[in-house]
Amino acid sequence: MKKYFNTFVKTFFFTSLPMILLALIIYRRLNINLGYIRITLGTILISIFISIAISVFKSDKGKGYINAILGYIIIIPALFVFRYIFGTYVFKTVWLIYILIAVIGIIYGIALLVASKKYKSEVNELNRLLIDKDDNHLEE
Amino acid sequence: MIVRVNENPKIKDIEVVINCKERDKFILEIEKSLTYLNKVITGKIDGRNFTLTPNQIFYFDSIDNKVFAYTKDKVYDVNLKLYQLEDIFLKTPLIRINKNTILNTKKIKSFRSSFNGKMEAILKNNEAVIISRKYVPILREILGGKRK
Repeated sequence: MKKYFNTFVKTFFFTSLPMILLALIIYRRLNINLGYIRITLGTILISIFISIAISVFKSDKGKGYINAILGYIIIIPALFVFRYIFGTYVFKTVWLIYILIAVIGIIYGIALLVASKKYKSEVNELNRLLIDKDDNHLEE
Repeated sequence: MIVRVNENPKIKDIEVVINCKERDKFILEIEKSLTYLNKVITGKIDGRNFTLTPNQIFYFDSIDNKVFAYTKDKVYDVNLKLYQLEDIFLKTPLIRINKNTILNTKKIKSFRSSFNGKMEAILKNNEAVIISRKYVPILREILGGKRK
């Protein structure tokens, strides 16, 4: 629980910055005040979803690829909350949310692939060191 | 390398003296191996005490404030905390690999990673233990690599 709370606090911090920025942009350009409570509650909800996604992704239990897929699925409701907060001020057409879901999915997939390659090379290095160590012992 | 054993019933404690030209990697390996052999701890199963040598131990795991020693096919209750075991096994192949586990690196068969970046060590008894990324540099050093 403590670990999840720490993740939530960090996520809330990083989520609230763009949310406040976007609300300010809408206020400046369209002269519409979205309301601080609406933005805050929305940010809290989005942070909860993202923190759960991070916790599931990082979980030691279960298979890694299933955790990765679940992590992405859990993020999707956060995007719908985001749409609810900013409505047609940001999402001018209905399809924009689905495009956003797809874009987030692509970015998530690329990030996963890059991280996975990095971890694989680390593991390969450790396996090589293990083999070298065994070979050295046999030679001696 | 010349190995001499001096057997004398009057001697109480075993003393090993290494005469060498230079304290190189090979000498450090010998020192580590001797330290490894020198340590023993007590483990309990069903109220019975057993002496465990590091060579028997695959890993120590802490669950609910209790520490257990895992050998090839048995699990012993150890009456020591993980940080105490870390001190006892300093400069040996037994190192901490995550918040709750001390692993005997001599019992590692291979490593594998999963899709979400989890790294696991597969042991010689085919058990898998999770390695936290924080401890990977130390593990790399123990296996003879450079600490990045």
